[in-house]
Amino acid sequence: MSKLRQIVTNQRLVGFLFLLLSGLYVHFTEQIYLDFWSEAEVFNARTMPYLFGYGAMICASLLIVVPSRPFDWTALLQLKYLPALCLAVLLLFYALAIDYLGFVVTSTTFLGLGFIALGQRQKLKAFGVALTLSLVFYFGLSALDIYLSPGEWWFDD
Amino acid sequence: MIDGLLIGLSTVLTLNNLALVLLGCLVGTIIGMLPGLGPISAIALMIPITYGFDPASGMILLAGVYYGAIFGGSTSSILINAPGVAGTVATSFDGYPLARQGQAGKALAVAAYASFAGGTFAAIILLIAAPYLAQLSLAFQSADYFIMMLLGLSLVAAFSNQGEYLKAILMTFAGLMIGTVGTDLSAGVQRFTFGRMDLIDGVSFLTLAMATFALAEAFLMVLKPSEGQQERSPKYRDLSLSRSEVKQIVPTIGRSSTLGFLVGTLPGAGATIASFLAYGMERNLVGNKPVPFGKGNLAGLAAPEAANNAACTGSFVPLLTLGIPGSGTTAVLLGALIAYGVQPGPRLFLDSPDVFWAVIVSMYVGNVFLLILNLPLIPQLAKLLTVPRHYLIPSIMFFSVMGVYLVSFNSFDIVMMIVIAGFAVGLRLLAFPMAPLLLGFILGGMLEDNLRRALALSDGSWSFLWQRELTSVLFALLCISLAVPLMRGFFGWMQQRKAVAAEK
Repeated sequence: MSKLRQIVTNQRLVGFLFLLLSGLYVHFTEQIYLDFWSEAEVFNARTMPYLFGYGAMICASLLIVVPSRPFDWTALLQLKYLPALCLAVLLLFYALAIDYLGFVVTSTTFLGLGFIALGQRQKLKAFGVALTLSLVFYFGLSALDIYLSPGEWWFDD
Repeated sequence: MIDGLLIGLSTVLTLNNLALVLLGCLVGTIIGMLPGLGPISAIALMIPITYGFDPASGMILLAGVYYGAIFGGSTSSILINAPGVAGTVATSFDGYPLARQGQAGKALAVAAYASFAGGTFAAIILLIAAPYLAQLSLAFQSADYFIMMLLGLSLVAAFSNQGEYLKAILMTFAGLMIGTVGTDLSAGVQRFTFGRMDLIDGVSFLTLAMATFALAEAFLMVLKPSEGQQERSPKYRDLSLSRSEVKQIVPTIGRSSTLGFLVGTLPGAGATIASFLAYGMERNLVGNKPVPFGKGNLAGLAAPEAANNAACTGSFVPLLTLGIPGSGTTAVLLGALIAYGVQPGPRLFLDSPDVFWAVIVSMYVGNVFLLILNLPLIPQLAKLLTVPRHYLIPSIMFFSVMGVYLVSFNSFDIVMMIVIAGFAVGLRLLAFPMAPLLLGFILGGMLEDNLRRALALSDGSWSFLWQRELTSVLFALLCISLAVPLMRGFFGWMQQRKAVAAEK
């Protein structure tokens, strides 16, 4: 087990992932469209992506090859994943709902549920604070002449 | 010059114009705190209000907004690790750890003092040497800019711990690669967009900065509740600095202001590069005394703050003397000047001396007002960190997401931000630094543009690297900057080997 810990380090894992990603990046660089006269030029749209891609591949390979310190993987098992996951889902909801439900409703829902997910027991208070914050931003931004959609769901032409 | 200064003072020091500077600083600070609304947006929002003013008053108000917005951006960087504009990214490296250690008041005060000193120093130099500096800035060509970008990238060593140079370089490459997504404007070709309209404009700076800094930090605070807890220091509102702390930051502010101003005078370089260069320079000069850089070093906070404010003033040199906007913000100011019927350029200080000198004097007055305005506000701002974490964390997330949405009004950007934040959290848990990624992203586009131009001018030959004296000097500096961390690493490794051999 300790032998495995010495081989699979954080440095090697990320190095391996980046080697794969930069390999894919170089592959897609080859597919960048070039006009026939651009292909012969010293510098074209593919030049820098090639330099960056190959540079990243060399760097990732070095990370895998050079000796690295063992990493304490057990620390990752002690993290609080559930509330973080809840917030990630709420953020996705925010992204998907804002155009349909509008700024105020989406923001209030996100903030209210977010407060509750992180331990606020009084639901009414959570939504009260959330609504106040959303309205402050809504009216503040409106005062700066920044348009925020009230939501297609409520105001569909 | 004395006559000009008197004209400027008589224009600015009227009750009406002083009120405008104060209003500008206040509005700029508030707008600058919102991610996504940096100095460009703040000035653009205020321009319609200034149409009824005379040109000098209009420019005085806009200069106040500019400085206020820069300081506002630093505030959100320090308090919640949310750098809304690229120029304040480096501020968060040491400012945020200081705030986490219960010293938010001190961090904001150092930022305010450093900004004030940087801005004042730059305003004085601008007053004395603007026309000469304009000629110097014109001497810089694409080849020099290309080397300067490489010099900026070589500073990744400043963001990595000993022995972790390779990790920082890999993250820089990741940033450079993300920067190539979107349309290559020179060739008119799409790169890595996979046919998606949402990616045609590429990944915005704000999306990446908010995802890798503010949002990732908020997630980490949830994942590690014990580390997410701010230290409840009774001194969180304390602004005072000890004698040794003042001694530590004064030379840093002097060096960073000079560097920031010089970089700011170069069209296209601006506050971002100035702040990164100053941070890197201080890390190399000061070392990790008394606190390591990135863990709340006061010099690490003062350097980018002094440099970015000095660079903001420096960017007025090409605008006022040549009519060339050196940055996005000064381009908006150029538009405002033209709208007032004033043509910036070599004849500005002959044709409209009141405007020319009023802008220069208002910069200094703006800095004074900003300091007077912000010092009493700092304890109130620092209070923000005492908000319970179940309110604070979702609010930071909301603040970040809203900032990104306000710029594009495209919900795809929010989804992209969540995905990037997921990767950033993973990488940070695996002890990979995020700052080099952002540095690579910021400098990548400029690096490509300048290399393309330099190669085109030299008929595809790389001889541009040593043909001109200025380029050769910069190239030599680049080589030294690359060699120093490598040599340091090599000698450290040799010492370690010797120590191990001695133990055996």
